[in-house]
Amino acid sequence: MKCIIIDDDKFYIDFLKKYCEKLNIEIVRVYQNSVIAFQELGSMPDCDVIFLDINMPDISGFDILNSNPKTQVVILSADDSNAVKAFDHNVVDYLQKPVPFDRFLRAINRVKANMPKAVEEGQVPVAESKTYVGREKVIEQGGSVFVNINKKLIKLDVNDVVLVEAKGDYVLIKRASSENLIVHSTLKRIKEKLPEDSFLQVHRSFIVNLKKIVDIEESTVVVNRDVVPISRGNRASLLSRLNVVN
Amino acid sequence: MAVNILFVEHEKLPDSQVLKLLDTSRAVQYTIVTSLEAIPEALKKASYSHIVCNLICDECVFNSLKYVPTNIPVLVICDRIDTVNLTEVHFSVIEKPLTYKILFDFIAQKSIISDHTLEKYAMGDQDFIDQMKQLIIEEFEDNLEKIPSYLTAKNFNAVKSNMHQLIGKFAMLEMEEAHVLSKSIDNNILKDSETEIPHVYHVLFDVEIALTQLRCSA
Repeated sequence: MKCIIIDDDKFYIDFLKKYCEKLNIEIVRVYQNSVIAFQELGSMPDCDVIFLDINMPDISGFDILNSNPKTQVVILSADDSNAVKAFDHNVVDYLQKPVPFDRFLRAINRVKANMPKAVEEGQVPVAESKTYVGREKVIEQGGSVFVNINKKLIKLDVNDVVLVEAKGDYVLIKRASSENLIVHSTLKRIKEKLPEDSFLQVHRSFIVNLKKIVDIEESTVVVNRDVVPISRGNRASLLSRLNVVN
Repeated sequence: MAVNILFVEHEKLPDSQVLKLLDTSRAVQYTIVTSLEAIPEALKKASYSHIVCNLICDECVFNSLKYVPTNIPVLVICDRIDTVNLTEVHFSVIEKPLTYKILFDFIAQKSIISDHTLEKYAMGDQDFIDQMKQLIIEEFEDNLEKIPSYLTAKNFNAVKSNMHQLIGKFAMLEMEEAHVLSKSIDNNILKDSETEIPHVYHVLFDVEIALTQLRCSA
């Protein structure tokens, strides 16, 4: 695995170097100056993950996220107040400084889980998954729902749905074994069509398939390969819906 | 560290260099009482981190101080240390005059840092721990030099930025009070500088103490 570090604080850069060395992660570049990192975004060397600080002078981590880096991003920040905003940018994980090694390791496992299998195994990469965009028209039919994509009704097997994420005027439907779909609709309207026993809204922007949950932390849940924030108020209802051994 | 000193003096010394310095430090609170007999009452009324006695020393003084709780460090200033029997006393005794440096060193004896988290995160690699401590020392020195000037210039953006950088270091050194205050400063100084400025001085005082302790352990 290859990584890039963008952090203005040498203290944390040295910690990351130590952790990466322990996990045999190759550091292909370190940017202590976020302005240079921002300027070189398009020409950065290939890597599997960027470790990105949020609070940096002149160019913040969010400025870099807004430029849609092609690589997976793990945030490292001294405070957790930006976590939800960061997850809105589809970051893989959000680590609070100082980061214990075991927590760093879990973040790396999430990065690995998100990596295409072929790349992970050193094979030829498969084509990137596509996302189809369409206007909402949801029709229920048994265990499936039809959504209107480009004037075509596409059958959506609800068991294949991993999560639904609000994206402004659209919702992003992530599926386990098919392409992602973007539908012109609201989370509320989609929620009404999904079976209540399998789906739960865990955050104002996220509905997740309970059967696809992999693990749950204090403020996040991993669904299939995605890390989703949990609102404080929804955590209890999520736990009550799962078969938890205390 | 919340420093609140109980000074015991027969009379308030108007020329006390120490008190003048404490008045400007803003991070240290203190109260003066004028007799040993007033100590128990003062300890009932408030919580003190240290006691400093500036009295004419005799056996009577030491006997009275033996009843002060041992968790509160006590510093006694006397005219001649060689005339005093120091066996069985649990407090520090020094000769006059009391200087700010002596007082600061006395306060800094009470440890406010811990290596535990740093050792854990560094997975026991002592060379790496020393390297990290050196980086923190350099950062603390830089903060002590620059932050007061940022405050004078009302450059609160710079104060905020420096405080933000310190949050994780305070967590790493288990400096809980400084950790909480630095988070508050980072979040609020641009909105409410009046409330946060005293917190900045408090944090700087802790940084100064931590720096002394880090230099000893590095």
